Amino acid sequence: MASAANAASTRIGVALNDAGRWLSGRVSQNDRDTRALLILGLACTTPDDEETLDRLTQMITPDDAVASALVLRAAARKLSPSRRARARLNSVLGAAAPPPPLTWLPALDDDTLPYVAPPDLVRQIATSIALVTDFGTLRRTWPPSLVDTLTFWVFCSMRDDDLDLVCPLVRALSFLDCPDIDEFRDAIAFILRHQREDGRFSAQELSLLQCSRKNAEFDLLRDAYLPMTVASVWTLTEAHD
Amino acid sequence: MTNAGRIESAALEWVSRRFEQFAPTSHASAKRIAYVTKAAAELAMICAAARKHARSSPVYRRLAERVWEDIFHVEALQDYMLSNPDDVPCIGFYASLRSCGFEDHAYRRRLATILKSGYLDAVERTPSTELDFAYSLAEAGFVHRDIGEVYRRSMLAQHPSTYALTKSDLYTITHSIFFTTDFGRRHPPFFTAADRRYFASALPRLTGYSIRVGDWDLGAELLIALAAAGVDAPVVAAAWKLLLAAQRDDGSFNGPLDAEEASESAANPDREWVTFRDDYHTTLAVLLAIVCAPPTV
Repeated sequence: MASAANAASTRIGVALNDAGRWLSGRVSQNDRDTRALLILGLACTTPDDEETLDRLTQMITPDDAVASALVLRAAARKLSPSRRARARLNSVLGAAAPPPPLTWLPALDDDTLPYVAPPDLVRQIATSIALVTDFGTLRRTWPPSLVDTLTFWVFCSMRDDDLDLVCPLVRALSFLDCPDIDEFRDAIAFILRHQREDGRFSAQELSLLQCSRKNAEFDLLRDAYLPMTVASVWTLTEAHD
Repeated sequence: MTNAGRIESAALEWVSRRFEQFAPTSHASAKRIAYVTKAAAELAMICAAARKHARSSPVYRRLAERVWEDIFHVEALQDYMLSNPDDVPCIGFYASLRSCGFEDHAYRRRLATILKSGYLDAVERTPSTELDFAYSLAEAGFVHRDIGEVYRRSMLAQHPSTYALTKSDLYTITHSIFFTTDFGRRHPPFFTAADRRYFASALPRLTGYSIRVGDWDLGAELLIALAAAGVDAPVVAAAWKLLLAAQRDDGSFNGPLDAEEASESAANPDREWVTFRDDYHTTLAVLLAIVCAPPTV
């Protein structure tokens, strides 16, 4: 059992290294739309690259901090307290806004919720768990059905090959400290399987290509590869920590 | 009457109103014959299941009589089925009506002759289709292969990963459970502890997934599979709630269509046919679930 855990840990380490190389290669093309994601991606994969992280965090404006608060807050947490980039992010982010009210909590009493919740609500629940637990550092009591429901959605998202939804759900399970669930382990393997030779992560490549052919505004790198890679490495580091 | 009883009555009414469309000879297009023959055989199978499960509604009996008199007894259809024994359920259709208490000695003799020729034994089948074949032979009272041995070669017995299973795989799995358990009336001695562990973990997840994507057809089949495999899980009550709430005002249930099929259906001017083609199977699947795995809601 311990050796299986070690092997998984090694695989995650290798995947993060490869993704770090891919993300570092994207730094020269950073712009306002991609900067916050790049910072989080690098904070997860190459947190010791102080020069790059410094350069990128210096470009973050207060408006960027508002628009990408969750991503930048997660990035700050991934950096060691001694890093200038962390101090800069914390300064521009200011005090954390109170987490949004858990308006969805009463819906967990309805046993049909797992089967009717639309993807937006699933994502909202996963995100609010990240905020309410302050990325897993705060404990609180949750309804017993929450973990089962999240686990079921992880299963569904994997069946749908929806890497974009698997990631926040797996992170939510990490923040709830539930790594000993079959679906959690399966999801980590699922994420690792979606890494490409060049280090990036992606899913449903055929749909992405069709989308980019139909829509000239759609940028594969900005709208698909970068967000999926950052979501994946963030999730892997949460599982790894 | 219970909620499920009302749903059952409305679905049976839908079937009764559309009975004509279950008759292959009522369709002018030759292309539809095999499809409609299969639908008629499935209707007969539900009537047989209702009898075996002592379902109280007399409508099943009336439907069985109509299938027997107005469909199965049409000589041209019997000729067609016996000339295409591997394309249409010529044994299963007969077996279901036999289970309803009917017997056609001439048809049985002709079937026996075909079986004796060895053709149907020689046909290459997947293990799940072979389970259907063996089950039909058993129900019809003919010699059949060892169902346990066929099961062991099936996809279900390999305990496949639930993440990769396609819709078609899911039907393979539900049908394998239907035919090995006689829709829940038999507890096969050949199911191992590992099989049962797989059923207990895979079937609830797959049922939940099917319901979540609005696939009432697979949802209903998986509810039968859960009950037949003796698996109780929280998803059962929730799935029944959503399934029963999905019934249309006319008593039918939406068939699962992908975007391309839905677009073809919307454009097809033959509305009667489209409604029957798209929804009959799901409506029968829900009825079968009510018969074999009655909900408590």
